[in-house]
Amino acid sequence: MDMLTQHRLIRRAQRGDPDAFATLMTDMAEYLTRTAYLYLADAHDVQDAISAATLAAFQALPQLKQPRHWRTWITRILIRQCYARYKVKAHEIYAQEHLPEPPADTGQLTTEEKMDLLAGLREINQAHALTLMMFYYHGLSIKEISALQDNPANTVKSNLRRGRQALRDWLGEDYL
Amino acid sequence: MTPDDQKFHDFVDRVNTPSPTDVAQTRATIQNTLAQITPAPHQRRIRPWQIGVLTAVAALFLLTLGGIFNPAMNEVFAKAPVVGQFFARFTDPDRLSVVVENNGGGQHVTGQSTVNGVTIKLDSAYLEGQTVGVTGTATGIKARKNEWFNLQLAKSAPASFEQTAMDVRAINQDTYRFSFFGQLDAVDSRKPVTLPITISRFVGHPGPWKFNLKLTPSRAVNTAIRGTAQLPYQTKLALTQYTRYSGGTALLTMNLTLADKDTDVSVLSIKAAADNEERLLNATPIYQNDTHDGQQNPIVGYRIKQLPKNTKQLNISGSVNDKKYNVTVPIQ
Repeated sequence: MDMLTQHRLIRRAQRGDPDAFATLMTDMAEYLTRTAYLYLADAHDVQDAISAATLAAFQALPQLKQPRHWRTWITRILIRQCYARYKVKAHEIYAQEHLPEPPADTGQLTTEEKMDLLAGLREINQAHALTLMMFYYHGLSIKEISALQDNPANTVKSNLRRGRQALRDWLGEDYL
Repeated sequence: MTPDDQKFHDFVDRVNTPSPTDVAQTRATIQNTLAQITPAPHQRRIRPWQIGVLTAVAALFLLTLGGIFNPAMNEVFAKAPVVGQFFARFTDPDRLSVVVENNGGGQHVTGQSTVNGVTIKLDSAYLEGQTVGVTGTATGIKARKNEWFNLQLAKSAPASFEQTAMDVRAINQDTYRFSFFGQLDAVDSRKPVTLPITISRFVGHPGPWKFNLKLTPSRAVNTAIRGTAQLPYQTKLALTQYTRYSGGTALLTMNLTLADKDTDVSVLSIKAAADNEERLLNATPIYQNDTHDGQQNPIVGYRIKQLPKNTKQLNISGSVNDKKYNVTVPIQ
C-alpha cells in the first residue's frame, strides 16, 4: 500500500470508518504476526495479542495525530499487548538451556534451523533480549521500555548490555 | 539506525518469518475482532428529529402496551432515567484538571444514571484552556461483551467540540472506570460549555445513560511574552504567550517556523532555569488559532505547571525529526 493511500485510509478510519481501519490492519497482517512472534512463542497468545491490539488501536485511533507515524504507533500498541501476555506467562517459562549452535550461513537456513535460531533468540529473551528487541528492532527508547516493563532505566540499560553480550558470545563478533 | 542496529534488524527479519497460515489467521483475527466492535469510536451527533421520533415511538409503545391510566406503567416510566443534571464549576482554585486528579484531588461532580442495572456515575470534569476532560465509573456490570463504550453528543453541544480520546478500564469484576477528552476552539473555550452526553452502550450493555454536563471555564490570565530559539533543521521557536489558570497550571504558547511542513517537532521538557524543575505536564501540543499539524507555521500551546514569578529563562528540550535539541530561551 502506498503512503498516500495509507494516509487517506487513516483519516477515514479516524472519522469512524471501520472498513478503512480493517484494510489498514489486514494490510499489516504479516508484519503484526512477525512482531508478535518476536515476543510470544505460543500461537494462541500471538493471536490474542493481535486481537487486543486491534481493539486498542481502533479505540485510540483519534489520538494518532500524524498518519506517517502509523506503523510506529501500531507497533508500540502491539508490543504493549505482547509484553502484558509475556509477563503473565513469564513464571511458566522453563529453565534456560544452553543456546543452540548458530549455523554458519544464516542466509541459507532450513525451516528447522530458523526455528532453532529463533528459539535461541528467545532463550536470550527470557532474561534480557525482550529489551534487546524493543530497543534495537523496534526502536523504543530506554524511557519507553522502562515504563513498559515497569523497571528502572538502569535495569533496562543493564539488560541491554547483557543481551548484547549474550548475542555476541553466541553469534560471534560479526553480529552486534 | 547504526550499522549494528541494521545488522540485528536484518538478522531478526531473516530468522523470524511467519508462515502463510499464521498470517491468514491474523487476518481472520483482525476481521473477527472488528466485527465485534460497534462502529464509531468517536462522537456521533444525535439529530433533534431523531430524538423526537424515537421518543414519540417509545411513548406510543408504552402507552399502547400499558394504557395511559395504568399507574404502574406511569411509575416505571417516571422512574426511567432520562436526564441527570449536574454542574461542575471551578470555584476552588486548588482543584483543577486531570493533573490535580492524578495527584489525588480533582473537580468532583455529581450525576448518575441507572439503566438495566448498570449505574454510570460521572466523577470529575474539567475545562482547562481548550481541553475538556470527564471521568466516570460504571458499576453493576454483569458480563462484558467488549471493552468499549459508545458516546454521543446532541447537537446543542458546542460546534467546535472535537473529541480527542476515550478510555475504559476494568477496576474489578463489575466496575469500570472511563474517561473521555475533547478540544474546543478558542472562542467556545471562554464560554460556559454544555455537553449533552448520551452513553448508548457500555462494555456491551445497552443504555442509554444521559447526562447534561455544564462546565464553566477556569479563570485565565494571559501575559504576552517574547523569547526565541533556533532549533535543528532551520526550525525557529518563538514564545508568544503565557496563560495562567486557577489551580497552578498554565499554557505556554509558541509560534514554530518549520523548514517544511513535514518537519516533526516535539517538546519533551520545559524547565525554568532558576530552579530547573520540570514544568511540562503534557507533551501533546494544543494547536491554536486554526493552525494544525502539517502546517509550516503552527502556533502550539503546551500545558505546564505555572512558572515561578520573574522567570527570566526557560530550558526547553525535545527533538526535531531525529535530532535532539536543548536550548535556553531568555524571556521578556
